[in-house]
Amino acid sequence: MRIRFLRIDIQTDKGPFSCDLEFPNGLVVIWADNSMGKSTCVRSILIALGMEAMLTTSRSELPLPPALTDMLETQDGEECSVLESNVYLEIENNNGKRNVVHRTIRGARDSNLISVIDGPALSEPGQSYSSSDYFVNLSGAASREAGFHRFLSKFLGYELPVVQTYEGNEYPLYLQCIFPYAIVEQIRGWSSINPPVPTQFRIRDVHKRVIEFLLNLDAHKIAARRQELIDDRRRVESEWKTVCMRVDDLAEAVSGVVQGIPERPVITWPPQNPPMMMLPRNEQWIPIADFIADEEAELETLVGQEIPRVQEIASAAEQELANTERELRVKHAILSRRLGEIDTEEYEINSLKHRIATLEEDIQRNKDVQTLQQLGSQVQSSVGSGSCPICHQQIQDSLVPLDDDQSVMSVADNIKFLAEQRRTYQGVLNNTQQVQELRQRRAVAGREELNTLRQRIRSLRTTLISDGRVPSAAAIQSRLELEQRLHHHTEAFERFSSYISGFDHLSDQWKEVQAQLRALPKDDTSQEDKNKLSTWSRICRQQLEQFGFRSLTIEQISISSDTYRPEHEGFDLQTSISASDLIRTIWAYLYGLLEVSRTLETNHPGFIIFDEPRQQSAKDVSFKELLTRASNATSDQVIFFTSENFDRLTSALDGISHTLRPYDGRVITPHE
Amino acid sequence: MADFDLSYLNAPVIFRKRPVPVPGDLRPLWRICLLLLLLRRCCRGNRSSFARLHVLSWGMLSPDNQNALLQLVNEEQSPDSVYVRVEPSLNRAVDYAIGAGFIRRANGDHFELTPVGVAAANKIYEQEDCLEEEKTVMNELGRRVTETLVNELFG
Repeated sequence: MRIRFLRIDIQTDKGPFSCDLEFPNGLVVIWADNSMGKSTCVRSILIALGMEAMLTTSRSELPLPPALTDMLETQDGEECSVLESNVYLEIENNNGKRNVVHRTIRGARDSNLISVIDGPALSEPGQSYSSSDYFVNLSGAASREAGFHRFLSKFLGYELPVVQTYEGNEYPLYLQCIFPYAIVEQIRGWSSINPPVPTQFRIRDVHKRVIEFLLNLDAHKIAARRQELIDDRRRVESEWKTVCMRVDDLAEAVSGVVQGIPERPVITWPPQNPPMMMLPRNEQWIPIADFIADEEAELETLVGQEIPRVQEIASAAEQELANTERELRVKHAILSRRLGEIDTEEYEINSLKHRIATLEEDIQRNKDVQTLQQLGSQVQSSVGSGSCPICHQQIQDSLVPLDDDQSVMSVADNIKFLAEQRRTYQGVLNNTQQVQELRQRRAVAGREELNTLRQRIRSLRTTLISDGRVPSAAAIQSRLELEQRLHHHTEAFERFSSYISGFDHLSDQWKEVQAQLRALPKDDTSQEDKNKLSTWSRICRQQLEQFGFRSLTIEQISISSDTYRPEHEGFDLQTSISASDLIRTIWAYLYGLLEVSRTLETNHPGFIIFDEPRQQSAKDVSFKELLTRASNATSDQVIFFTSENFDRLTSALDGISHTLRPYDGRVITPHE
Repeated sequence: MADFDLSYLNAPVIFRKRPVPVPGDLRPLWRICLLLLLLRRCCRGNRSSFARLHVLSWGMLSPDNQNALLQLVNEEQSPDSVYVRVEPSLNRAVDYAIGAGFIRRANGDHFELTPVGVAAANKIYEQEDCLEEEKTVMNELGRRVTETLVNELFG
């Protein structure tokens, strides 16, 4: 973007006033004495572009001097009250298209409206151009169709990146945050290397985001991709856990356990020892497949036999009844012993939990003590540092009396000590809980077994008291039972297998995500990014050399690829340099961005405005060098507003290509 | 009694006293700060009797105590069924706090915050991540632990 033409129109009770400023390409110097209206011009440019957020957080009042809003002073000190004032700005984009933006500062029109005239209405007046209205300063100015900043970013050919706020919302990177890198305003612009970017938008790492955008770095894109992949990885992990839980539930439903499923995703699937579901039989865990095979064989033999009649099996049944009853007693005893163990264990678990809670409380209190110790002198008394406030003798850091030669652990050590204890207890608790879980499942299985035995006893008794010619109820019962159990187990096995095959898919995804994460550049910067940053660093060093930077050795200054700020041997520059070198660094840093855009692909708007660049703080020679360097601009624009001593200025400009617009007196003058 | 023969160790046996861990609530600084907060948040005119300080301090020490004290002021438990533990450590903390100039004696058997104590209590109250649970309980208690209630407890 280039600034082409600025017009300020003011109607007063003593007639019209105006100011017309044209800006060609290259180095442009606007000269006027102090308080003659230079800054009014710079601010007008900002206001015309809807950038008031750079100057103020107020949404109701435009940050402009009274000359535009209230009272204008003429050359001879006469005061005129302002009736209406308008700012017009002609801008040109990289495709050579020119538009005029028009904002009313004071008058009948809403000051939040900006009209855009579709053509060079200021430099080539007399033709009729269409115009449309946009709004600024209201929510949606950057995103809605009628928002001025949406128009402006389209005009600039920008595709603004989406950035995160501190609240975690996502917005486009606002133009108000980008423009401080191109327009340095006099009052706030010269105090730090990073331009004063408005903070009210609460954008996270806003400086980094702006530099990444201006230099069109891949870093932000890569970082966003990394975040996406990390989210993906988390999703796979949680899906994996869900399947694990389902498998576990399934196992619990058949009183079994599952072995060999890793808790977190793995790359190779299936693992060497494939996961298995085990069912308990006689104090042992047996794979469910074997279990089913046994049951099938048993059922087959039963099916092959005819169901016996009562009289044929009466004596056998009697014998079996006695056996079954004995078995029931034994199993019952085992189960009740097991239940007793479970109760004891439960008590153990509860006391462990209580112990851990107490430890956590104590850790918190010790941490409180640490916080209190850091609270500062207002709270911190001599007690905190271990001496008596009255007699100043040493006192123990404990309210319970101790032996004289017994010392007290320091708070930090105490916290470590407690944390270690908590870790131990937590480990014991986890272990106990696992054992308990197994025991409970065994108990459930045991109860089922008891039920089966009881049913068997019942049916044996029924068999023994029924008519000798009817088929044996016990035989029928046990066959039905077997069929049912087999069905139950087969179903569980099928579902188990289908869950397990689901891990295959998850494992593939896991592998993919991990591989992509590893493929991302380590520090999130691509080769091209590095090239841009090193070019920028080099240009900055050249300029510092040229401007007479003295505070530190220039060779060791570079732009950090982490913060994008200049640093010296890894330390931020701002804190370690003199005031005049700070000004030089700001020149080099911001003008450097423009220079980078001449040779490399960037998003820099292609113009820079320095309002009163503090040449007083630096030396004459520095300012002359800055002008010389800036005169290299041919296709882009470097605009200075300055009140530098006129003779010195003209001699500095001697021999370099430039456009000088001197104002002898006020910039805004009565309209002839 | 058989003598232990430790000569095969072939090394002198040294016993060294290690620093002992102290629970956080027995650290003077913690308890003093708790006292200041209690006087500031739970006592009218930043002033309290010694007995009431014991009750309040006891009511902060564990979740069980916190519940008991809350139930007491909410009249869900009668004063007869609650046993307040009187701790000598609190007496020491009070002594230290007087020495440090945070509190002073008033009307003989009462204690009140000095201006320095008030400032310190305010600062502790504003400090985040510090005595959080205790502050929550104090806010819930308000100034409802009255001297009358304390008399009933010890009466």
